[in-house]
Amino acid sequence: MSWELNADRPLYAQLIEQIELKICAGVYPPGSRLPSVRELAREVSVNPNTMQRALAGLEESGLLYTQRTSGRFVTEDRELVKRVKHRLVREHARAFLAKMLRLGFDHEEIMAALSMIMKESEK
Amino acid sequence: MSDTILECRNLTKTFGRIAAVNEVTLSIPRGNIVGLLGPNASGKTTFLKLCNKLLTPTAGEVLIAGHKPGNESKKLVSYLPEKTYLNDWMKVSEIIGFFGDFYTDFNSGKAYSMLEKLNINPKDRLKTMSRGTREKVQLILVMSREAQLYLLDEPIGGVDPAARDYILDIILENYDPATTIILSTHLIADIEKILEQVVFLKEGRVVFHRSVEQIREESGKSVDSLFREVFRC
Amino acid sequence: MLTKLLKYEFKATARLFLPFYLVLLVFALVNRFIDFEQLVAIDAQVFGFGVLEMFGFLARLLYFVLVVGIQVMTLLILLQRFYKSLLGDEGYLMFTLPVHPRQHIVSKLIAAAVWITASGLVTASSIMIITARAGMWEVLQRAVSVFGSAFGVTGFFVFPGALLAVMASGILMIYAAVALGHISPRHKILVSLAWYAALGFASTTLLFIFLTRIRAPLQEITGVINDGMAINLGIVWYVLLPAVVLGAIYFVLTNYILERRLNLE
Repeated sequence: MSWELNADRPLYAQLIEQIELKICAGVYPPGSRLPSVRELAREVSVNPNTMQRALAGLEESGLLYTQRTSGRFVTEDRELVKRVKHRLVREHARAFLAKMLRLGFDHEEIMAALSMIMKESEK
Repeated sequence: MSDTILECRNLTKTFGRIAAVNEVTLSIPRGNIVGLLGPNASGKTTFLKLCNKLLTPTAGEVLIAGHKPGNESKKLVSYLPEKTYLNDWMKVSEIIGFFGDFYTDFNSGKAYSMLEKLNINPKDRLKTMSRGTREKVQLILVMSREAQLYLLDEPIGGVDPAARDYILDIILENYDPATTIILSTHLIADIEKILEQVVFLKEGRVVFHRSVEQIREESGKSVDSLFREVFRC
Repeated sequence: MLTKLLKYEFKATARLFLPFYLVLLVFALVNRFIDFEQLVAIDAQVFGFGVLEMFGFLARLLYFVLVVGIQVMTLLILLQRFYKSLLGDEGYLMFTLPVHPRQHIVSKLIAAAVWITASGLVTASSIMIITARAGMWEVLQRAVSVFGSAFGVTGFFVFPGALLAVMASGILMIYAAVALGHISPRHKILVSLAWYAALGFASTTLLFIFLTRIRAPLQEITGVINDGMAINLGIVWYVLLPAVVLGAIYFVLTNYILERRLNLE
């Protein structure tokens, strides 16, 4: 899972989204240790202060926690991760729906198209 | 230790009748990566040279960690000029020795490991190197100091996109929260993600000085597109 | 810091001077063993015309060119080490080192004085190599002992000291002229040359006034010349003092410009 940032939106918000995604996808499993701010900043090529701000945001929402000596960890609260997952599904689905509606499809057409694509990808 | 690493008041430098830097008043806090952005001849290089005392201001002053540019400030500042300024008859290893002799904050181990990563042989003389390689060597030397303020004039100007990524990586690798990096460039899109603040310069004047995230939040634009807007010809 | 500056200054200059010195000494040796009579004889026997003789002349000519060349090169490098390494692109490096401008000037000055002396000594040795004859050592020894009895042991320090002071003030005058030219917004080199001429003129005028105002030493000097060997060491002061004063003025001026008026464009 690579990092994709657009320079026209605040980066810290995008970083929060992408780290949430990575936690939900298990790239950073519950209880695992996150790389340091510096390492992450280098990996993504962003300003360390911006990365710091994003991680602080994630700490606030409880997805991450800091252990003073050993660094930053992903929460072990699987319920919380699940809730985030659900939120993400809803967010992405809503965004997708909005886009499709704008293109002029109605709900039925969108459902039909979706189930067709799902069937295709099953093969 | 004061929170401001660089401060200037009404800093002005004229060449003949042209003001290359015109009444610039600016305050840069510690722990920042600041982009000094502007089209050609907007005063970026002149500004950085004034901070290094390579030019004498016509009016106003600049203070680095509270010091006027001089011996004390030179100990704190690591400067990458826009030209190749090293003795080309020297071997890279000799230049590393030179930096180590004069700068107490120079970390030669760091320099050697960066050279190795870029496949530059320390036994080579600068004379035999391409322009791009020479620029990389200069950047490596400048970034191998553990300085408080790095002033980098067009650090990615003369190198190919692949090397550009590596240079940004070098900058991030060596950046720590106590240091400040001010870098000038006109290649904004390549660099804006590592910036925290930007200073737009136009004809020697500061157009504005803002946080990059604030720009994105308020205008919904990237710094690059804002730049194109401000400096539309 | 000064010793570090000197270390690099000598590193940068030695690689230019030493090979040149070596070539000069080798050429001196070659010239030493050129025996024109022999060459002419061989020419007559083997070639029938003056081939070797021509080579002999060429070697001699080249030696003279080298002798002149070394003096010119010494001056040029002295100039270049100040102009290019401080006021050219390399100045970006030198002036961002945590080193005071006066240390830069002193390091350049010391290196220049050493190389001027070395060039003089090497040239003198090369002449010795060519011209040394039996009995010359005794002549030299006699000259030294005559000098010693005239001036005493102090003479061996005072005269070279005065020479060094004059040399240093001459070098500093060049630095001051280059620095003054640097202030000018354009035609820096031309302005430097003009300043050099102006400083030279001003200095000799001042020296002249100084010497005429002080009658005694002038009489002393003329007296000395009339008396032949009855030279008093005191006259050296009249050379030493102006050199030190002028040198100090040039030094302060150069330092002021590098410290307060530097503009590397």
